[in-house]
Amino acid sequence: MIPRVNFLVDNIGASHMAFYMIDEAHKMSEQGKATVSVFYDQLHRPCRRVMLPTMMMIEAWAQPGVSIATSMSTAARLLSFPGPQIKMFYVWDMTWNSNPKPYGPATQLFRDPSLSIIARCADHARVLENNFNVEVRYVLENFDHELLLEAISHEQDRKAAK
Amino acid sequence: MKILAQAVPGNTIAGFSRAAEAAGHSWVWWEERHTPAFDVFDEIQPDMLFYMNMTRAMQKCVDTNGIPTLCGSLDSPFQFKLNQSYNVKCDYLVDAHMFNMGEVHKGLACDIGITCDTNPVGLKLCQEAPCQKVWNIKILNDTAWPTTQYLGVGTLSDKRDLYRSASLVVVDTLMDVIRVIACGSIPVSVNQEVSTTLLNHGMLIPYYDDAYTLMDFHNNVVTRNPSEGASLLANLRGHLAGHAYDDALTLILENAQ
Repeated sequence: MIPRVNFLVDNIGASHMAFYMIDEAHKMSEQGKATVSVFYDQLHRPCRRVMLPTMMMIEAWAQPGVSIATSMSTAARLLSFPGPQIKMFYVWDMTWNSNPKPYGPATQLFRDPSLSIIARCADHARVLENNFNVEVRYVLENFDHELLLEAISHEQDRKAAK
Repeated sequence: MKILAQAVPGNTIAGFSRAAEAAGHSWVWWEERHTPAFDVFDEIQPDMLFYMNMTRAMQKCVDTNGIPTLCGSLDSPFQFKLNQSYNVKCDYLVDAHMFNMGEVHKGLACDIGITCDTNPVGLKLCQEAPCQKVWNIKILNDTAWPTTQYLGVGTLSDKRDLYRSASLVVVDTLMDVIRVIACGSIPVSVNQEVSTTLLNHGMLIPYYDDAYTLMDFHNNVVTRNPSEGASLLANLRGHLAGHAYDDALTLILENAQ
């Protein structure tokens, strides 16, 4: 059975992240390897033509399958969603590390055991592991769909093993 | 004993309140803007008044009731005036009810914790330590560090958790030194003045002005030879006697009677 993959993004407007996310999601969908949906927080003009279902974030609440947050705000929302069986956080950028900041909110989020952390590169992974003492399970660049599908399959196996 | 305390912000008065409650005294916070002095004295009937600013109304109530007073100052937190005449000077005090040995915080467990302002040793450490890939450094401080290891501005309890969870803590004030020792970690000073400031019996705090020698120190006393670290810590803890708010409160109450 092909997995149902839901990307939670702040918006699909012009950004490096949105471009790669849509591009790789198209590949997953076209190759029939996953049923992909995109949920956004703010309505923006898409940075490229989107051949996928896109919906408001509120719709992701009960959406089953694998949900992948892509920012601190979407990750915080994802934690409260009852629908997804697997919750992942693709840490696209390190804006959480900008100053000034209070200690606590980021730590609580990153250390939540229900989130599987995905980093963009080994350096990001090292910073996340150092600062939050968490295990970064996967490292993949620019939403690489093949590695992402591998990660999802691995997470499904882990879930089944529990 | 009922102690009436003017509600003013500050760790000193909060430290005394916890020490008093632990000793079985009753500690009552008083917000002067909400309750007039005459009313609060009538209602509480305190045995002692802890204040920062004496008003004429308070003075009259103190004279009428004939109770001892203790005056603190925000400028010099460890100097007190007993009964408006007798100076009580305490050494640096640690709130032993807050800063004590306890469970390691899993999110803050690290090799080196840092709770001081930016300094060349700390910056070099943050830059070099990740190259060796075995160092976990965490920084909690009120002012930001330009490094990825900076976690943010922590509360006192966050800092307490870091002191409990780090095997070695880099600090630059004597106050932090005794808090770190009270929490069961080894303090390292990057401020020479702090390192040579003596605690009770001439104890020197480890001082390093170079990141590499500090890393060597960590390797020697934590990684390779933990018994040496434990003995250093036991030695440091031995010098903590008399540095708790509980000790200062006992001294003050003895002098007040």
